[in-house]
Amino acid sequence: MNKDIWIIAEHFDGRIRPVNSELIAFARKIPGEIKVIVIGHPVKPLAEEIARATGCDVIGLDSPAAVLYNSEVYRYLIKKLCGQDQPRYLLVPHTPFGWDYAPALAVDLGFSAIASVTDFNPGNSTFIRQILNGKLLEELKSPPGCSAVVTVMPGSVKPETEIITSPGSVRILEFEIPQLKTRTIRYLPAQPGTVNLKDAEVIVAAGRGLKVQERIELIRELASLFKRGAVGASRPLCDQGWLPLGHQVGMTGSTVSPKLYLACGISGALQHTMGMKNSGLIVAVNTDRKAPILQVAHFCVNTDLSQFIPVLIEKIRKLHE
Amino acid sequence: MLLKTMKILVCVKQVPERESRFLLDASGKGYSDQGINFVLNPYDEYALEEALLIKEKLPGTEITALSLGPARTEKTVRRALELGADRGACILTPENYYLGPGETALQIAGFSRKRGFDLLFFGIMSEDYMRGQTGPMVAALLQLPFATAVVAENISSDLSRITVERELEAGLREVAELPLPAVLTIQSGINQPRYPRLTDKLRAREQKLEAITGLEPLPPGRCAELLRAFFPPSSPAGTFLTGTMEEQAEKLIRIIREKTDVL
Repeated sequence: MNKDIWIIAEHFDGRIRPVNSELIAFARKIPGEIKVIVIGHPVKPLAEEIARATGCDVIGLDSPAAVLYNSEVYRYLIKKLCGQDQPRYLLVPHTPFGWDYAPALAVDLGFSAIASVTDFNPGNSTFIRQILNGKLLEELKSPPGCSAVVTVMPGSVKPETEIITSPGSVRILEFEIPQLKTRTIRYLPAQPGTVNLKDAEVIVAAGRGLKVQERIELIRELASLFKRGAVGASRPLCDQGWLPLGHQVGMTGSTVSPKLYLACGISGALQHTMGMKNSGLIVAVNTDRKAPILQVAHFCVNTDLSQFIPVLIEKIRKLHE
Repeated sequence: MLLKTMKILVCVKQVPERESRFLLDASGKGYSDQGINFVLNPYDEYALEEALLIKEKLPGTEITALSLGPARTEKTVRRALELGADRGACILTPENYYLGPGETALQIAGFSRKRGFDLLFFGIMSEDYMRGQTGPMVAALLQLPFATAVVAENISSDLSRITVERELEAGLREVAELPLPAVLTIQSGINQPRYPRLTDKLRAREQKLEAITGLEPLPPGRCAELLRAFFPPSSPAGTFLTGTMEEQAEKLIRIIREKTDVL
């Protein structure tokens, strides 16, 4: 094992995903050489783009089986690479692709596995992560001599923005992959009728703090008072069937940055805040003065939303008159 | 003609109720379970419901609910029986014992070997530790194919394969096909979990559970070490508005007009 940090890059539809710049910024907190690994077919253009954009040395793993994402392909190829040389840390984005293969890869390699971390503490080489919907944090360490697969929560560090003057090196390795069990057939686009949250200037979002389904109407009414207002939601609210999944903000939902984000009755676990923390003005309406949403909100209304929102609606109406 | 049935394992975890307030335990590494009401992990309810829906289509299918934890975990296995699982099993751990994902997966894989499950279902993650690692780890240990964040599934008529849709982001999905046996982690919202029937409630009260004691040891050095748990900074980053409700609404409108052009 050496002291290297390998980042497994994520791409979709021929494009490198923005989360990679966050992983590079995260990796820079850890002492060691950074290398970026990218898997695809053809992988060369992706590898060259990363080397140019980040200045990091890039290894591209190419196989005809890697056109679409497949966990078995990722595991096979990364394991091959680790057969020659093992890094101290393998950093993977905690996304629907990353959380899929990373734990199995850790088992394959005999590495420890640390999921959805938000920070690294260089003093004692520990990783920080949220538990219990953000009510507590925990600090973990991969023991000395043990490599680790670490998934990094999107939105937990500011992306790397350093201006790169000289691109990193690119090495392409090609592999034949033995027969696979899992067959990825295709990607299905979002169903029509999905709310376009990305273009909204104002998002009024509802969470479980709503408590009563009929109060969705209050949220809708408030959102309708703005020219480009839309209704957002936390995952649990959609799971209850109170709003369709297309309204979901956060992990597996939309990432948004409207001018105004009004979080009504949303406690604010990282799964939600990662999708809205870059909004211009964030206001939380919440009865819990300790809710994690208050860590990202600029202003907090610490009161019952069922009473406050009607008052707010009335005052905005008067303004429009 | 052969009767078409499946054997499904659903792994269920006992977790604190979502609205609980937490204190650190004596070790400082986790939360104290004093005064906490423990429930079936809400994410696992979707996994169990999906198994029950398969059973409705393929009568004769047998669903085993398995949990891992201290003695109180029995209640959660019984809850799974109330909801319709046919059998219940519990791997018992000592009280206040921290289980990492690797160790949990090792026990579940050990339980599952030689039992001939066609499908192993997990919730996408647990409400308390939110890692989502156990399912894929069990699959890797058993060398089975797996899919995570499943939002739709369909078993082929000859029961040899399963087609799944995985949730990616913003409505995008991935379609994949896996041979059986396979491991799936089920995304929340895939179905609407049912309420227990009275007959199942009565059965669950009486039914004998399989209890397994003694944990399989983890190979040394492979486990991340938990150093401590702690509370996030308690002072909020933002400003609390003050005054009556009317005054707060007026202040908020003023702030919105100052900082944005949306009003």
